Amino acid sequence: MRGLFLLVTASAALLFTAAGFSQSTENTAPATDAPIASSQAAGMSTTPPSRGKLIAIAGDCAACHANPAGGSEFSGGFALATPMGKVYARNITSDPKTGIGGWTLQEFDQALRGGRSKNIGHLYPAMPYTSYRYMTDDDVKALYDYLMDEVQPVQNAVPETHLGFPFLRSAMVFWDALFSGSGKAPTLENASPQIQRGQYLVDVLGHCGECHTPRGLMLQSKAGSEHLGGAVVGSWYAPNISSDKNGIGRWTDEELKKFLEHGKVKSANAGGDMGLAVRVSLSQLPQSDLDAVVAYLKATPPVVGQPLAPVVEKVAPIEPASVEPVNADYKAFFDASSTNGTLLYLSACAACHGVDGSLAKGAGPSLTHSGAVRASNPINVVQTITTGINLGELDQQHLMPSFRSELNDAQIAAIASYVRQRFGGIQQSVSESEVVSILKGTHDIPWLLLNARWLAWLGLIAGFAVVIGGGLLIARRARLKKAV
Amino acid sequence: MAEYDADVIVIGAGGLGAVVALQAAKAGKSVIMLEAGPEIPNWKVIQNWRSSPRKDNFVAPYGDYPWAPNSYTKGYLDKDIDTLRWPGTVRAVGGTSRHWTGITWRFLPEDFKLQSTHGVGRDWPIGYDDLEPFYTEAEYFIGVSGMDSDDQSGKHAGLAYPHRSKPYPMSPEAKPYSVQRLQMRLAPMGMRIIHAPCARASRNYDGRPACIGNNLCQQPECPIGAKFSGEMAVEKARAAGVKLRSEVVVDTLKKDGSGKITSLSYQTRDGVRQTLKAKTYVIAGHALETPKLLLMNELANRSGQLGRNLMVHPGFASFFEVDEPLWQGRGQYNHAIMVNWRSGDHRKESAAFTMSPWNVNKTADLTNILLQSKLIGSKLDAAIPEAVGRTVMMLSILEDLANPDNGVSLNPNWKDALGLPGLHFKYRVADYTKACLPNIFNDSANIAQAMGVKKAPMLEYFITHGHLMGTVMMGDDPSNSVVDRNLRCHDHENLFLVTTGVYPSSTAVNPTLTGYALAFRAGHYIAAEV
Repeated sequence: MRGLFLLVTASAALLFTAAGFSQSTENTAPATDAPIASSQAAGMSTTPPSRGKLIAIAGDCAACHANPAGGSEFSGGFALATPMGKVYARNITSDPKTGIGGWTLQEFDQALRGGRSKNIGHLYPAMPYTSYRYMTDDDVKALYDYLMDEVQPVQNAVPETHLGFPFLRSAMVFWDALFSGSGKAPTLENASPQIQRGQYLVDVLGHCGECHTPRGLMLQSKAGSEHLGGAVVGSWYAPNISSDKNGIGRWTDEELKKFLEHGKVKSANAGGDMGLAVRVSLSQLPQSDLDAVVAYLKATPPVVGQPLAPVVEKVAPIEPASVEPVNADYKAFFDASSTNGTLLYLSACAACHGVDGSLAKGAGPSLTHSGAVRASNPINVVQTITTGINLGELDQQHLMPSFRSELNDAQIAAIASYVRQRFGGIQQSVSESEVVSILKGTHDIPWLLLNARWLAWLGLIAGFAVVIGGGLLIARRARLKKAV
Repeated sequence: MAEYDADVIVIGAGGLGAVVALQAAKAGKSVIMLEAGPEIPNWKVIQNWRSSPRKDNFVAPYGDYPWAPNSYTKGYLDKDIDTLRWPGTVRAVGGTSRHWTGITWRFLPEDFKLQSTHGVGRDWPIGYDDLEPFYTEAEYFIGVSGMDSDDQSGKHAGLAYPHRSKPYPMSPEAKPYSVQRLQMRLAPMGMRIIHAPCARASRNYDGRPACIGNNLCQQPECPIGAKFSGEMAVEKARAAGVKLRSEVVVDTLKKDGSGKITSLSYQTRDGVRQTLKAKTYVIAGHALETPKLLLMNELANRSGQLGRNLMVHPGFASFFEVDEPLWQGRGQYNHAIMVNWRSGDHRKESAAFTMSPWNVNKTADLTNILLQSKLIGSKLDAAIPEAVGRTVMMLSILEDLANPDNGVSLNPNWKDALGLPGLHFKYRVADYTKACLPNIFNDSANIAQAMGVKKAPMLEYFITHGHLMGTVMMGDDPSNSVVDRNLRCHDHENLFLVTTGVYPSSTAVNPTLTGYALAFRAGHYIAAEV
C-alpha cells in the first residue's frame, strides 16, 4: 500500500517536472538566510501593542486564520479557495489539542519559514512560507511569543484539507525542492533603510507578492521577472503594483498611503481579499511603516504587465428616455430579462454612480478613473458588480451591495461591458461565459492545473503500463532464454 | 406520497409572511411560500417608475396583473369613501412593504390600552411588554435608525419613552436642512419635532449601504437598497430554505369537521390548479386579500367581524408658503415628526395625531396651481422654483377607530382574469377622528405664525395613508374578534393570520414595525408548535 502511495506521488511529481513546465530552480536557501531588514530598524515600540502583535498584523495572519463561525481570531477554519480545492487555515492559537499549544519555537519556525507542520506534515504554499522564510529570527520569536502568551487559546477543530491526488502533501517535497525559493524578490541596489524596511513589510511580512506576483504553471512565483506585476488570484485580479505606469507609477505617495490606510482613493477601491487585507492589516500599520511601504513600492523594478486604459476624460451625455421605453403592457412590468447594458446601468447603478459615472463621491472611485474599469481584463468589474464592496468598520458610510440576487450572468456581462466601454474606453465586450468562469474562479487558471487530476491519473496509468509491459517483456525474455 | 407537502405554508410573500416563514425554516421546518404576484427585481421597479407617466400612482411601478389585481386596479375596489385617496397594495414578491416610507415606530404602552385608559376604541389582548422583545428583534432584523434618548410620546419631556431593552441598531441619519430650520423656528411654539425612527440604514448595515438621500423612499422604492424592504425579508427566508412559488393565486381552503384546515388549492396565472397540504397554514395577505380569501371560503367568521373594522389612517395635508426657501425634497422622504398630540388625555374626546413636514418636492402640484394663475413666460418660469423652494407640506396621520361599518366585502359583480371577485370597500372618517381637526388647525396657525406665512394654506385635503388595519381583528373573545393573541383563528386551530389587519386600534403612527414584531412573535410560536 505504502509502495503504491509513493509511486503515485513520485509519478505525479515526475509528470509535472518531466512535462517541462519547471521554472529555473532558484537557490533554496536555508530558512534563516538573508534577512532583508530587521524590524528593530523601523523603531517599533515594544510597549503595547507588543512587537509580536505588530508582526502578526503586518503578516496579515488574521485574514486567513480567521474563524468563519465568528469565533475569536486565529482559531482557524477559514477556507482559502485555490484552483486545486479548499485549503483550510489551521487553528494557530495555543490550544494544545486543536491549536499549536504544544509546539516549541523550533517547531513553530519550521512551519512558518520551512513549510512543514509538526501535526500535518508538508504545508501547501497557500500558507505563505515562501515569503515568511525571509523573516528575521527575532521576529519569528516575537510572533511565537505573541501567539503563545497573548492570544487566548481557543478550542476549534479545523477540517482537514483534502486536495486529493495528485496534490498530496507528500508531493510538496518535490514542489519545495524546486520552488520554495521562487518568492524571492529582486534585491534593490543601494536601498535606503526606509526602502529596506518597506521591502521587508511588502515582500516578507505582508507577502503581497503571493497575490500580486504572477505564478507559473506549477503555481511557483515569478518574482524573479515579474515581481508584483499583477495576477489572477482566486476569482479576483490582483492588479500590477510595481512602479510601472500600468501599476502604481502614476499614483502620488499620498494616494498610495491613503489607499493602504483607508482602502479607497480616486482610482481604486479595495475589493475582495484586498479589502480584508486593508481592514485587518494595512490600516493598522504604524504611519512610519505605511511610508516605508509606499517608498518601496515606488522603488520596485517596473513590470509592464497588462496595460491600463487611459482615463476617459469626457463621457458622452445620454438621454435615459431613449433606452427606457414606456412599458407597453402588464407583462413588461415584470419582464426583467433585458440584457441591454445601458438600461440595466441606468436602473441598477446610476442612482449611486451617476448617469455619467462620476458620482458616488466619497464612496470610492468615479468609474472613469477606476483601475478596475480601465484594466484590460474584466475580472474585478464582474466581481464588484456581483459581490459588491464592503470595507466593514473602515468605512461605515459607503458600501456597494451585492447584485447577485438581482441580476443573472448575462446581465452582469452586459453591465460589465457597458461600464468598460463607456467609462473605460475598452471596446471588447464581456461574455456571459466569461462571467461564469470568473465567478467560478476558473478564469485564467493554467490549463495544466485545471486538468491536473486526469492528467496525473493518465500519467499513472501510463507508468503502470510501462512497468507491467516492461515486466512482461522481461518475463518473456527470461522464458525465451530458458527455452533456448 | 408524503402526507404533507410542507410543515407550514405561508400564503403571501410579503415582509410579514417572510418573517414567519424564516422563523419556521430556522427551526428546521419545511416551508412553502405562495405569492400571487410576480417576482420583480428592484432595478426593474426603478425602471418601471422612471418610464411611467403615472407618477401619482405609487403602486403602478409594481405592475397591475389580470390575475392579481391591486387596490388601484380599475374596478377591483368598489369604493364608497369620503377621503381623497385610498391605500395602495402591491401584488408582487415582497408585498406592499416594498412600497413604504420605512417609518418604524413602536406603539406606546398606552396605545395597547385605549379603552381602559381613555374609554374609547378597543384594548389589545397583549400589551407593550409582551411585544417589546419582538420589537427589538424586528428592529435588528430590519435595521432601524433611531434616537435612543427621544421621548416619542410628546408627554415625557426629557425622558426616553417608551422603554427599550436594547438601543436602536443605528443612530439617525444626518438631518435635512428643512428639518433643521423647522425645528429651530417651531421649538419656541412648543412643538416637539423629533426624529422618526426608520428602516433606512444610517451606516452600512447587513450588506445594505447607508442612505444617501435619494428622496425616493416610497416613490417607488429606495434605488440603492439602503432602506429595508419586503423582498429583502423574502430573500432571507429563501436563503434559509423556504421554497417560494410566485404567480399562484390561492382561492380555496378546505376544512374538516373540527374546523382544521386540511388543504389549500391555487390557480396559476393561466388557471392551472394545484392542491397542497400542510400542518399549519398562515395567511399573510395584508388587510384586503386576507379577509377576501376567508370570505370566499366562508371561514373564520363566527364573530361576524371578518372584513369589518377597516382602519386606514386618514391624513390631513396642508401646504404653506413660508418666508425662507427650505427646499423640501432633499434628504430623506420623511425624517421628522411632531409628536405633541400622539398621546394624552385629549384622546378621550378626539383622535391622537402626529404631524410631519413631508420632505418631498412638490413641483408638479405647484406648477399645476401656478398654471391656473395669470403668469406666463419667464415670470411663470421664475415663479415655479420660487414656490417650490418655499413650500412646506405638513402631513398628519390621524388615529382611526374600529367601526364595524367600515370594511371590505365580496363584490361578485366584478371578476378578475381567474374569475375571482372584487371587493366592496367602504370607509367613512370617524367623528372621533374629525374631532382632532381643531388641534391641527391650531398647530397650523402656530406654524404659519412662526414661519412667516402670509397666505392661507394653498391646499388642504383629507387623504388616507397606505396603512390598512383592522379587517381581521385580534382579541381574546371569539364573539367579537377573528384571531386570538397568538394570531391563531378562533375558528381554525391550524390557521394563523399574520397581517396588520389584526390591529384592534390604529394609533397615530405608521403600523409596519408592529406588524413585523407580531410576525416574529407568531413565527416563534408557530415554529415551536408545528
